[in-house]
Amino acid sequence: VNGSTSPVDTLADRLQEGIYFRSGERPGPCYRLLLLNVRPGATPADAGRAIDAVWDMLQDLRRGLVRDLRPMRPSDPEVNVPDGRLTCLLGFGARLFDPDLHVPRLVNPDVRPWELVALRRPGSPFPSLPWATEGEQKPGEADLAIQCIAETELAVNLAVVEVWKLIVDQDLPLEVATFHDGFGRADGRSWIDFHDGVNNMEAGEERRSAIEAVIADPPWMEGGTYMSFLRLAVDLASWRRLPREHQEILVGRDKLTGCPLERVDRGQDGELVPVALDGCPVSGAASGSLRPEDRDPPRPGDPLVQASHIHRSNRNRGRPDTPANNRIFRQGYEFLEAITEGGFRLGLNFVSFQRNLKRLRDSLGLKDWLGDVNFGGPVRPKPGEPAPITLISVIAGGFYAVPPKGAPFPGAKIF
Amino acid sequence: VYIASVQSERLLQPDGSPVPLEWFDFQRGSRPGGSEGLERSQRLVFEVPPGLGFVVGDLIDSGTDQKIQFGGQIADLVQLVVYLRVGDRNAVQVQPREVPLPNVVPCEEHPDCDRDVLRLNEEFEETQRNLLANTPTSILDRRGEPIS
Repeated sequence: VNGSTSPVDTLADRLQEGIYFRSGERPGPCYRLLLLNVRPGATPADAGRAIDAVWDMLQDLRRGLVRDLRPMRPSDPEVNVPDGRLTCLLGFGARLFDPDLHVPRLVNPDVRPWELVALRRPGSPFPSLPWATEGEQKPGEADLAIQCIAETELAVNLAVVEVWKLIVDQDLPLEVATFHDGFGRADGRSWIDFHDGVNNMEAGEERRSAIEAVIADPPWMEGGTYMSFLRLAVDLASWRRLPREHQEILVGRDKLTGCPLERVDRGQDGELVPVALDGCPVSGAASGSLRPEDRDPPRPGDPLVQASHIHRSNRNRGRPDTPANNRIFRQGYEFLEAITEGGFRLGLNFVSFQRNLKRLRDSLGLKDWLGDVNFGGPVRPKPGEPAPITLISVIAGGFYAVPPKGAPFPGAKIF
Repeated sequence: VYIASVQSERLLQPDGSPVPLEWFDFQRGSRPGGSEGLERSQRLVFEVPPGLGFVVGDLIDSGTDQKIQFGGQIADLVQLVVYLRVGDRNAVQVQPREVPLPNVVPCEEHPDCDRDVLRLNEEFEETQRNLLANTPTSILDRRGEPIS
């Protein structure tokens, strides 16, 4: 009322818009990730001016102002396009800091965050998460990533096209590498039909403590965060061949209600019988309407349930600010795309924000987390238990440093 | 405290391929086996097999893009495990059970972390005294006093 801001809000304000972690915020359903490279031969000053111009234009676009619709004649009206509550977020990839790829160098390699490295290497990006086949792969790494989220397809598509127009019109030393698209499901489920992102921490301070980089190492990243982007193909055909019981054991939740499993019993004929946490679902509650203990269930005693996806990805069930708990804030978007050979491919744009990249690497790399299985389930199943399945593979991916808000654009000080 | 595992795949050879786990020699203890199936090694020896034409210093940690210069960079890849036995061996026939990790004070963010850690340590010691409440008085504490 008096205009004062609480200390928590002041700190939270350092994070760029486009990370919907605050209480009451919900990300719009339309997603684009635009990847740009700085043209060879550009100087740091050239690159800085180009990014500044793009960022400035995107701020205009957020107010509904499009460059080609500016009034030119005295009689021209002021034209606004629907902004769709567009948010834009700027990230820097490892490539930007690579002096071998940029001559003259664009930024001092010493200011590269030490964990910000290329994902593209020989072999799998993570021990149990392989690349998709050669023909399916797409670029995921670039000098710059601009995340656009809005309520409408128009707003996010316009952002992509307006960036391209600006590059052409002003001969900016930037090149569009590619873009990735996605959509949010209002029902909170994923392509495999289960509820997704159920336990994504409490909005506000709890989430912020998992997201915000609080160490000034490097100094320009203090108050920022790190974004991971993995465009994951889902082998839905293989998934749908699994019986419901196996699917539920792999995920760790009841398929229809979203209730977490407490244990898996054996029926009279030795069949597996998943048993949900006592009291869930709450009688009369709508599907997906879960109690806090159902969203963040305690670590189960049953080893088979312990091996499920929801317990491997959040193994310790502890506070987000404890490093060993590897908590990350997920903000994913599904995708569906046609493929040239006919048919289509579907999956998830796995997007997460975390205070350091070690958390994601450990979640996807450590044994007993997701390092020894592709999605979930036991490594050495007993008879009747679900066998290991390669459900997901990486079409494209990259890590990006997302600096805190700043002028003239986030992270400008490194150029 | 034992060595649980090592993230060998994070280390890259000069050709970009990950280092095989076999280059790590788990010593001083036993590998998983028997009914418990627990990893019980206390020393890890790592070397590039002779004859490959390169050495440990030519390897790169793919998590940081840094060449290996110090042993600590390898130690960073090692996960430890703590086993707690609360009775005589074989007194009760149970399988090992995983217990939740406590929340750990993120020291890097708190200037007064030392004090917090000391307090947590004292609280932990207190809980251990309670566990030992019925033990013989021949057990002495760190000051040489019988534990009562």
